[in-house]
Amino acid sequence: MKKILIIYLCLFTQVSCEIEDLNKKEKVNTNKIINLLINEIIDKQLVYFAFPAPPPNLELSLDSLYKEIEKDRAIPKDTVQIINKMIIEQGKLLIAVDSSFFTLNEKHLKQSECNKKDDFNNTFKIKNIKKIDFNKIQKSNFYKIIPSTTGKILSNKNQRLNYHMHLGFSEIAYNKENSKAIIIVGVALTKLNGFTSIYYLEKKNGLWKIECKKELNIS
Amino acid sequence: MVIKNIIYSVLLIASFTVTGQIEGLKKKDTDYFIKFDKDEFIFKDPLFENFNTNSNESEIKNFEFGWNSYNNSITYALNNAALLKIARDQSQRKWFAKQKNEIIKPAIEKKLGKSFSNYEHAKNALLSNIEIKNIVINHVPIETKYQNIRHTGFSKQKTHLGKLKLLKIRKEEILAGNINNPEFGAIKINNIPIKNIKTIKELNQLWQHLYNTFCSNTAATHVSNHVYKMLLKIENESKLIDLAVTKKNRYYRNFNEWDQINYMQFLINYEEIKKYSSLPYYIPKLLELSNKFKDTDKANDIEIEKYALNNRDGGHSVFSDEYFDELVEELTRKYNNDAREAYYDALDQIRFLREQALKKLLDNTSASEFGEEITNNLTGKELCIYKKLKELNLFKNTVQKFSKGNYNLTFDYGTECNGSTYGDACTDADDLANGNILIKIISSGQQSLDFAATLLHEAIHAEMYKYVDEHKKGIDPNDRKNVLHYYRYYKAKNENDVATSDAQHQAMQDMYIIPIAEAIRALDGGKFPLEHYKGFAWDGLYSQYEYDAYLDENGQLKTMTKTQFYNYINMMNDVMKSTNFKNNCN
Repeated sequence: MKKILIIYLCLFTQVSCEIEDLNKKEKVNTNKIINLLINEIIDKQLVYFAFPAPPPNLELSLDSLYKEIEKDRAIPKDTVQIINKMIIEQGKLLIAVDSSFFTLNEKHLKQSECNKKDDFNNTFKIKNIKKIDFNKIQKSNFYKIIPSTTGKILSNKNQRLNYHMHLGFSEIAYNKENSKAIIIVGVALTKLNGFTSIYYLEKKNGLWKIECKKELNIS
Repeated sequence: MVIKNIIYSVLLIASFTVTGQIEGLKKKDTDYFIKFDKDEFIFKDPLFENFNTNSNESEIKNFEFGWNSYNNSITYALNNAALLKIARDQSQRKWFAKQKNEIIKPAIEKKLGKSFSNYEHAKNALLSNIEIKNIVINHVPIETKYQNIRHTGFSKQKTHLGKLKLLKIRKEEILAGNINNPEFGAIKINNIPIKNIKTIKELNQLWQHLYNTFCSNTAATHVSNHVYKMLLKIENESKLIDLAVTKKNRYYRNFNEWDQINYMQFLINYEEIKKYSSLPYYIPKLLELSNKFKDTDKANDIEIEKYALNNRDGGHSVFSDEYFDELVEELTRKYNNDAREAYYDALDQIRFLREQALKKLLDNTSASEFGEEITNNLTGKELCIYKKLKELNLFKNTVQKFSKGNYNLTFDYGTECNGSTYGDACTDADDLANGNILIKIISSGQQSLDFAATLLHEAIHAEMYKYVDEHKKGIDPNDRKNVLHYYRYYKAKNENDVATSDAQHQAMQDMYIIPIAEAIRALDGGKFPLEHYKGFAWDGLYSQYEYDAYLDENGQLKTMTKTQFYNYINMMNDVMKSTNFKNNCN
C-alpha cells in the first residue's frame, strides 16, 4: 500500500514538473517575442519621428520633387545621434501597452500571404497565456513602457494625450515544436492614426526573428 | 502514518455522509403534514367518509377523545388528524383569498391606476401591461436588424438594376453593330469590363446570372421590408399582446398556489427586482427570485420576430419562387386539378409578370445611377450623419468619386479591425486589386460632429487609395504632387502598409485640415470662426511628438506645436459642448 502511494506521488510530481517546465518555456518564448516586437515597432517609429518628410515645394515638377528625395537619401545620416538628440530635446516616448492579450481568432491565422509559405502552413495552437509580464520587458533609453488595463485608452479623451503610442498584442499561436509563432499587433498613435500588423516569427539558434510581416489595415 | 491519515479521512467523510443523511431524515419529518394530505390510504379509509373536507370554517369541530374501546380511540385519533387537515386547508385558502383579493388586487390597481372587478381581471391586466412593455423594449433590436437587412437589400437591388440596365444598353449597342465603342466600356459587371462583352451570347450569360441574383435578392428584400413595416407598428398589435398574455397565464398556472402568489408579487415589483438583482446593485436574494421566474418574459425577441414574420403584409414578390408556387396552386384549382396545364400556364404568366415588373423598374433607373459602387451599411444616427455630409463639397470630392467607375467603397460597422480594437475607424484596402475598399467604423464617438470628422478622415484615405491606384494604371493623368511626393518619400506601396498610412496622413495634414474644418463648420451652421473647427481635423492626425511640419492654407511651412494642438482641442471641445448638430439626428 505504501509503495503504491509512493509511486503515485512520484508520477504526479513528475507530470506536474513537466507541465511546469512547459509553461515556463511558453512564458519565456512569449516574453522574448513581446520584447522583440516592441523594439521593432518603436525603432521604426523613432526613425519616422526623427526623419519627418519635408513638405513638397509645389513650385517644382513631380520629377524634380522625386530627384530631391533621392538626393536627400544619398546623404549619409547618423541615425543614432539624431534620435538621441531628439530624445534629449523632447523626452522619452511614452508607450502604453495593454496588459492583456486580445483574442486571436482562427481566421486571423489564415489572413495573409505569409501563411502561404510552407513553413507557416502547419497547425498552430494558441497558448493560454493571458497577460504580459511587465517585469520581463526590457528597459530602454528611448522609451518608457506604461502598462494599460483599459484596452481602449485612446478613445478616452482625458487620458489619450498622456501617451505617444498605444500597443496591444494578440494571443500568440505556436506550432507544435514551439519554434514558429504568429501574433497580431495593434498600434495607435491617435484615434485615427494607427495600423494593425500580423507577424510570423521563427526561432533560430534560440533567437526569435520576424520571418514575415503584413499590415492588415490602417486608420 | 500515511495509512492512519487515510483511515482518518475515510472516517471523516463517512461521518459527514451519515450526518447528512440524518439531516435529510429530519427534514422529511418536518414535511409530515404535506406528505399526509397526499396519502391515498387516509382519504380512502371508510372512517373519513363522514367528513366533508370542503366544509366551511364554522363547521369544523373540535378535537375529541374517547376511551371506551380500542376501536373508538383509533377512530378519534384519525378523526382528529382529519380535522387538523381541514382546519389547515381552510386557513390556507382563507389566507390565499386574502392575499389575492385584498392585497394583490389593490396593489395591481394602484400600480396600473385602474379598478378591476376581480383578482383574475387584475392579474390579466398586469400580465398584459408587462408584456406590452416587453414588446416596446424587445422589438427595437429586431427592428434595427430588419432595417439593416432591408437597407442592404435595397442597395443591392439598386446595384443589380444599374447593371441590368447597362447590359440592356450594351445589348442594343451590339444589335446596332456597335461592337468596339460602348458608352460605358470601363464599368465592370462581375469583374468583366463592358467593352469586353462583344456577343449576344456572352451578354445573355451575364444577364441570366445577374437576373437570378436580382430575383433572389428582390424576393428576400420584399419579405424583410414587410417584416420591418410590421415591426414599426408592432407595439399596437393586440394579437401579439394576447398571445404573450396567454403564454404568461400558462406559465402562471404551472406553479402551485404558493408560487403563483409569489410570482404575482414578483411581477408587481418587476422593474425594481430587475434593477436591484443586477450590477451595480446586485442583491443575491433578488437574483434568486429572478432566476426562479427567469422565463417570465413571453414577448421576447424570438417571439416578436416570429410573429412579425408570420403576420406581415405584402405576400410575396413576383420575383420569388413562392409567388410562382401560389400561382400554380391557384391555376390548378381553376383547371380542375389539371396540374400540368396549370404549371405551363403559370410559367407563361410569371414570365409576362416579371418582364413587366422588371421593365418598370429599369425605366425608373436613372442614368446617374450607373455603376453606383458605394455600399453603405450604416444605420441610425451614423447613417443620418452620413446623409448630412452628402451635401458638402468635401464629401462630393471624396466619397462621391466612388459613385462611378471601377471601385467599390463600402461603409460598415466593425468591432475590430482585424483583431485590434485600437482607433475609432479603419480603412481596409486589402482587396484594392479588385477595386474594393472597406471603411470600418469601430466607434462613432459622441455621434456628433466628431463622427462626421471620422467619416471624412476615412473617406479621404479611401479616395487617396483610389487616386494612387488609378494614377499607377495611367487612368488619372493629374499629378497630385503632394500625395505622390509623400508616397515616394515613405516608399509607400498603396496597400495596408504603414508607409502608406504615413504618406496619406502627411498629405492629409497639408491638404485637408482646412477642408475638414470648413466641412464641420458648415455642419455646425458656422457658429464659430474656422479656427474652432481645426481641432476636428487635427484630432485624428497629430501624434504629439513635435515633428509635425505641414503646409498651412497659404502654402506656408508650419510646425504644429503641442501648445497649438491643445489649443485646437480645447476649441473643439467648446464646439462639441454647444453644437445642436446631434439633435438633428435623433
